[in-house]
Amino acid sequence: MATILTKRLNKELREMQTHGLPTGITIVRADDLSEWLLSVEVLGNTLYEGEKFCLRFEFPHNYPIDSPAVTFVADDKWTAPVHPHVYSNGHICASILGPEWSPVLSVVSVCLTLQSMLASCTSKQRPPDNDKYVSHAPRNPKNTRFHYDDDTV
Amino acid sequence: MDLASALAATGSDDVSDPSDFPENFGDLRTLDRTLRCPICKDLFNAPVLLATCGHSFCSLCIREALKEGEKKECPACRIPTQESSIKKNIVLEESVEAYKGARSNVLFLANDAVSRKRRREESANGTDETPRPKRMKRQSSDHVLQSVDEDDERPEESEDSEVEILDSNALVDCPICNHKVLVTRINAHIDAGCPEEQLPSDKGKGKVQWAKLLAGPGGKTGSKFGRRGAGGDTDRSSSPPPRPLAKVSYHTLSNKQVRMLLQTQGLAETGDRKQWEQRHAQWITLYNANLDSSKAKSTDQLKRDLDKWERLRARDEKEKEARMSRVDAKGYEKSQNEHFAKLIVQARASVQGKSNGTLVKGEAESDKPIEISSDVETV
Repeated sequence: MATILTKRLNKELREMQTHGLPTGITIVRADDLSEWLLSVEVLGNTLYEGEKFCLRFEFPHNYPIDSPAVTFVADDKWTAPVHPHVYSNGHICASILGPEWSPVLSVVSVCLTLQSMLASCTSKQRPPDNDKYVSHAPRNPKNTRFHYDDDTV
Repeated sequence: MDLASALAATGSDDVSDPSDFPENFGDLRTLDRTLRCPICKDLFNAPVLLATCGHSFCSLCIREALKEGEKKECPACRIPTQESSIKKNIVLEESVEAYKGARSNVLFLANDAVSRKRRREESANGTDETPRPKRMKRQSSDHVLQSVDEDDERPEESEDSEVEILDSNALVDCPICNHKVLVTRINAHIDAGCPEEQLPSDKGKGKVQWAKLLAGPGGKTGSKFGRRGAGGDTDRSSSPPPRPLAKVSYHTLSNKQVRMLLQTQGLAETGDRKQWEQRHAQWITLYNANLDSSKAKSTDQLKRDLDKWERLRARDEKEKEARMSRVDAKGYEKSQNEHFAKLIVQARASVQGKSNGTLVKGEAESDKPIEISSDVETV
């Protein structure tokens, strides 16, 4: 299904370039089919005012049927936001990135969801099991079976 | 692999998108978007709808999506569904086919209108009272009313010259006497000083229109629509439609039985058992999706598609392996050195604790989660 992947990503990129991106989201790098980087800023009066984060999208060969692997970039240049659903290694616990993924979702819609997840955050803290998870986390968050129990954000 | 070369490799240079239309033609963008599959974002190919909710997708896209997910649900609205709820969407397919033909013309006109408007604004400083897009719209709706012709790309075909060449039976208003005149007669009518025109009687006109409708859209408009014409329809009604292939639960079958399945479908038997199953399952998907298309491909073409799918898949697997092996093991070891040391200390402590029999219990328990598979995590 590599052909769907190529076409679909090209269309998404085209749409982003001509239509423009939602406020606070910019393309950092999107020049190949395997990995895109987009920066996300939460604007307005939120806990993350003035902070900027970078999302890494890795596309499986049968995207969009299969979900992309989405993480916050955590290296010397970027940090992962402090949020109850974001681990310090950048892994995100969000159901739409796992079993609730739907092929009608797109890169932009995932960015928007995560932006609103950050915007609605009420207390800046790491997930309770952060240290334990980070020390054993697989490289790809899709190999983690998250347990989704918080419907408030 | 960069995007452009990847696209060239797949042999598809068509990356059409709603944003092709100029910004002030929002309704055209909407029209374009509604005729696209929400999964592949391409114009619908063999569209089907889910009887459970009514959303439409390409047949192949929705079949792939339902095959992949653990839960069978509509990708757009998450209402539970199953493959048996997939129904052909004939009208949508016809609309998309008609639109595919019209799209380039409409696009050209829209872009043309924009550049004209700009030019006019530059030269006349906005004295123009009838913006061009509006005029176009009125004319095309007039045309539909008059000629009952569903090929709505026709009125726009020659829009860039000032004279409209409409359907030869269409009526236009004479700019001088305001009477209805056959479009083929309009020039002669004006030249002769607006004499009374012989219009085709309503009865005759109706006959012509009915004849046109019954002949099907392929009748007159040429090869672009001919493929979907009467020929295909009679084929379908004379022989019973082929039935979709049933899905197979392979795990209950022996190797021999799976090979038999491949043989009955005339598929290759190369590779291992896993490949057989994948090949057969993909064949069923391709075959069934093809049944939903009015321009069904031949079995040979489908087999070529299957081969292509398998080759791409093999390449993807290889790329994935290559990426995995590129991971810098030495570097990882170095960066995690500290962590390893910590784990070794913990392990030693726990072994010592056991052999001494005097164990600080709390510490042993804190070690425990490390031994549990890290796959299961809770938030």
